[in-house]
Amino acid sequence: MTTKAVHNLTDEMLVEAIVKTNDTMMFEVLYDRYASMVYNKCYGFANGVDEAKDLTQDVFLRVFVKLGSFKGKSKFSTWLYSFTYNHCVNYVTRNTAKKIEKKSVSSEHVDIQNIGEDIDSTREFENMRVEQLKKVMELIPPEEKMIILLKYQDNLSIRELSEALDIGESAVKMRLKRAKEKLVHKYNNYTKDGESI
Amino acid sequence: MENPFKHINQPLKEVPQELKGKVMHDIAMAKLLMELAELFSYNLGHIIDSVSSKRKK
Repeated sequence: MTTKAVHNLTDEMLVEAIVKTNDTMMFEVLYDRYASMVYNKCYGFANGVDEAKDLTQDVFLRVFVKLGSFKGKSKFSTWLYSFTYNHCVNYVTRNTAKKIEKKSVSSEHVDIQNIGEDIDSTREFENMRVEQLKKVMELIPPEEKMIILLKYQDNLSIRELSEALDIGESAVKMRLKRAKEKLVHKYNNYTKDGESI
Repeated sequence: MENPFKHINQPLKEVPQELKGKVMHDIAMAKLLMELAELFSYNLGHIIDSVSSKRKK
């Protein structure tokens, strides 16, 4: 395949070709397409440039090894977003032994019905100031930061989130609802000292 | 009003130039290891396929 032909491939076709051939030149094309996105997402979880570089390097290595597990159920970019966040969250929480759990949703069934379509709405966030929101995002647990970013920044649907996090759709809705409430609460109680009550 | 989450990672940071070299080096090493591992392992699916196709003949 010529270089031009490789550049014209869609992400999904490119991934399929890499899985078949393990061709590093093709992986380089994938790197060029997504380096900025992955680096910036890692930067959001890292303490500085060096850590962001290390995280990005690890993410791409793991992506190369795990590329075969991408089954094409969602867009490649969606898969890569959640892969990147999962890696970052696991890194950030490595010392607290709070890895992403496949928690059961025992008490979570109660008011699932009432969450409705509200979960897609960004109404609560519309009047938020970007700078303050950035600071408040650092005050919520990384798992909640991840689910909020996947939903409201990367526009993953509930079904895509359910596949990405390997939990049920009602659990996704419940986690999103809780994360959203926590974020709004922290935002509203944010003081200038950099702490949220 | 717009969704503020679209702006919290702006402006995007530029990816350090040296990172690509490091990543591609890692990938080359991973490829080598994967190929070595393949060399010393059996592809059971392929073996079963080839045995069963020969039997038919």
